[in-house]
Amino acid sequence: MSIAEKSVIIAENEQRVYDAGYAAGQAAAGGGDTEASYNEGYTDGQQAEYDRFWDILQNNGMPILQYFRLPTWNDENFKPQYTVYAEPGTWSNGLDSGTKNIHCSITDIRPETLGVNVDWSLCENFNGALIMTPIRYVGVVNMTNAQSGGTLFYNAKSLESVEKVILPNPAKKIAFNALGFNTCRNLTEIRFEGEFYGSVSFAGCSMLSLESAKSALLHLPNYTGTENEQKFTITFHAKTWALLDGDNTAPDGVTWRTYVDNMGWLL
Amino acid sequence: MWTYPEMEQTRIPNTVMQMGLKDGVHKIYRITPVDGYVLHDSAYDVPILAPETMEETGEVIPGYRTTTASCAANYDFTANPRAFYTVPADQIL
Repeated sequence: MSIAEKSVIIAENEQRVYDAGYAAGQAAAGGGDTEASYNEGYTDGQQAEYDRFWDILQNNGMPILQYFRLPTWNDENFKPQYTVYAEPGTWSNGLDSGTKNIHCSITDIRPETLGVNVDWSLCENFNGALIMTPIRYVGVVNMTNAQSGGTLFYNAKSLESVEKVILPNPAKKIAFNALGFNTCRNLTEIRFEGEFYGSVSFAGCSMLSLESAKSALLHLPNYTGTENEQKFTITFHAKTWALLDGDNTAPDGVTWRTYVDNMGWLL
Repeated sequence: MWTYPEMEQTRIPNTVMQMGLKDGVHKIYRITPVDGYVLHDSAYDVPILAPETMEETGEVIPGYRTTTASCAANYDFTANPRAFYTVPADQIL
């Protein structure tokens, strides 16, 4: 089913809710037509239409890209019924439609809010996926199969928290360099799993928490004695360094700056 | 064991430079802008992308740091690939 065909169904949805509610209400009243039975039926009808709507929209796992480009979506009406999958192939600028000034109003795509999981694990190209979106809260972003995606968070100005980023395979050499978290000025909480590859920059993240910065530092690979020693840079905003400089929990009792030196990275 | 002796002569004006010695072996330089100055570092530059293609245009918004930078002991200060230079802090909005 094409998007256009689905759009027709969406447009018909309101009438279908009414019709289904009316029919259910009449059935509940044994063929009668009382207001109470109609209201009860209407609720049932709404649920039936909700189920039908999402059955159609998510049949065979409609890719997440299409969801977020629909400008009418917001936190109230975006209630998917099944796991939301990222598109297996290219997802460049997937959530973005900023250049067309049409983008959704969804702010929260955490599973605990949506009620279903958002599965990014099949996605291969994450570049620009969150650019210019109003999304503030994200759950686990699984980049295990990423072939590219160092600009996943580029220009995600509204982003405040990411439960966890499962980092790409270092062999793919995907770096979250200067563009990586650029202008994520509201990003406060983020955690990582796996290892970074190449330079990583949080230079524009003035709100980053101490624990988030530590999570990033603790997932730097140890380049000492390798060809990458003193080749890559990790950068933080001055406010973040102020937090790190006041913290004494770096491994081996050193400062976080010396920890970076120990790992063969540059500041 | 790292030690960071301060160098008498800096290679970047308006900065303090230290050598980073690991077990006595010179591994890095640390560069810290003095009060009143910020240090340009291309690692802090923000590349400008073309809106439609999201490809880099080659232009950047210069990025400055108030905190310490480090570079490898064999850093080429003549070519200066990270474009280290200082700017009075009050010139940066």
